[in-house]
Amino acid sequence: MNDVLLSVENIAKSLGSPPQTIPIIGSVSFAAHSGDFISIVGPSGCGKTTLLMCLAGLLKVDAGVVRFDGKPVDEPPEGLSVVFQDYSRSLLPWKSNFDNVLFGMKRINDMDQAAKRAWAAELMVSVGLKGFESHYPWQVSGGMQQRVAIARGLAARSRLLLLDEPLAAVDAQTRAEMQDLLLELARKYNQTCVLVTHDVDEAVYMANRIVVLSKRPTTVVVDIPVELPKPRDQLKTREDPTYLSLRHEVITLIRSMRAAPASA
Amino acid sequence: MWFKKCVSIALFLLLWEGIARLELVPNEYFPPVTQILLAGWEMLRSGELLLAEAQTLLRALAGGALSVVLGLVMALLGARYELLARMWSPLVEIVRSIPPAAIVPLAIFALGLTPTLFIGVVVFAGFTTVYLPALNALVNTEPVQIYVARTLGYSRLETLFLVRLPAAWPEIFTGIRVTAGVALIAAVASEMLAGKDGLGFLLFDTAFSLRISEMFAAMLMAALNGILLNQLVVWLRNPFAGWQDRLAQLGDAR
Repeated sequence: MNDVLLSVENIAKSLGSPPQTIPIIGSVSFAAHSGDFISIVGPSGCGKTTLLMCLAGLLKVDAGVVRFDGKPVDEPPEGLSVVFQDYSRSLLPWKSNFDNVLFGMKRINDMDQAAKRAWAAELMVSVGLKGFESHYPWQVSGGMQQRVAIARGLAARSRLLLLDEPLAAVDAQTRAEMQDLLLELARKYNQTCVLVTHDVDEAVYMANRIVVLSKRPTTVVVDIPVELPKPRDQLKTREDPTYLSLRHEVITLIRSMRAAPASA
Repeated sequence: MWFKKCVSIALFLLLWEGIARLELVPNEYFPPVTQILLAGWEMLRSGELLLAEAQTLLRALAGGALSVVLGLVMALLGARYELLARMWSPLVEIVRSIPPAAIVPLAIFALGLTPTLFIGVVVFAGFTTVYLPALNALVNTEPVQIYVARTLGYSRLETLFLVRLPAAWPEIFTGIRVTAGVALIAAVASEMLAGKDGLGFLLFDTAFSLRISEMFAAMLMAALNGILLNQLVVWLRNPFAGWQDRLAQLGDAR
């Protein structure tokens, strides 16, 4: 369980066309081992989304290399799924929830249609959406839509889930529920997770490691292990002294970067 | 709703009948409604009106269907190969600017006085109103949906047909609806200029032989064509883009 699944080695990325390129990622390195849950946090506009696009193979890096399962990533690799923040746009509104999950099984060749439907039905139960299979995404709440998107990611038999602020748009109560659901799903389906988030509490609560990024051009400020007992609990974990001191440390770091003379 | 519509139409017809009967307008141009209906009934019985109606409707339908196919194929190619779209966009702009009737003289020479003439004019007039909105919708797909398809392993071609096209159907059908109207105009106009049958010809023929009631009857028939074609588009739209209406309704309800 300790082999490196995702390794990010000194990657750099600028956006925009040549005369006015803006350096977004200066130099970022970290590695995710199988079973890791890594939270990535940083000040606003620190290029978190660009970083995630590079990890997913949706953007080509200018320098350095992203390896998934040892192989360099230049196209979205098999075994890696992304859950985007904007669930209402990422789901296909002309497909039912169930068909959206089936849509995730494009690369699955060793199942016939019946097996795929059974697998989709199982995933719908796992994300707590039994009974909503034939509903359309726009007929269910935001939290439920994000559950469909997570199920669709898992349907691809992913090993690595890239989570791009997946809970930023849901209400606080739903968020807590969804955090526990994500942790449970990650354990049940052996997912390694990389979570990009604005929410430091969420970052500490979910992760076994936190990568703190700097402002643009982004570098890794610190890579901190989270020594909190599992399974996490919304009350106990959040009252744990380790949790509180980590939270304090990360928020202080981010605040100090924000206070520095900002270009943004 | 239906009742209110019927009342307004009935009131309008009654007003017309009254004005015509009182001869407030020259009777030879504005015959009373009852007289028009009588003339229409006679033309229906002789088969004259239904034949012309069927000819025009078929021409508009065939030309409209070809317009949709041509417009869609061009839009799909243009969305997949941007270079193609840029290459033919000036041509499309020119074609779009030519009024349908202006192409009829050329079409007479190029296509002869055959059914192909009418269909050709309809396609010429009608494909741009499918092509332009379709291309616009196909190239403006929600980026996140494309990212999702790419990370799940769909090729660019598969993404085009499984994500971009379904997402574009509502806009495409708005274009098809416009094309349906244009197809009728083009069919009738080309029949007027180059026809020996069809509603367009019948309209000219009755007008110039001063059969004004008959001309009005032919006009009503042309209006019926518009309603029929529109209904056909609405009916076809539902399996492709009906989700968009249900989604929008839900948004209104919230």
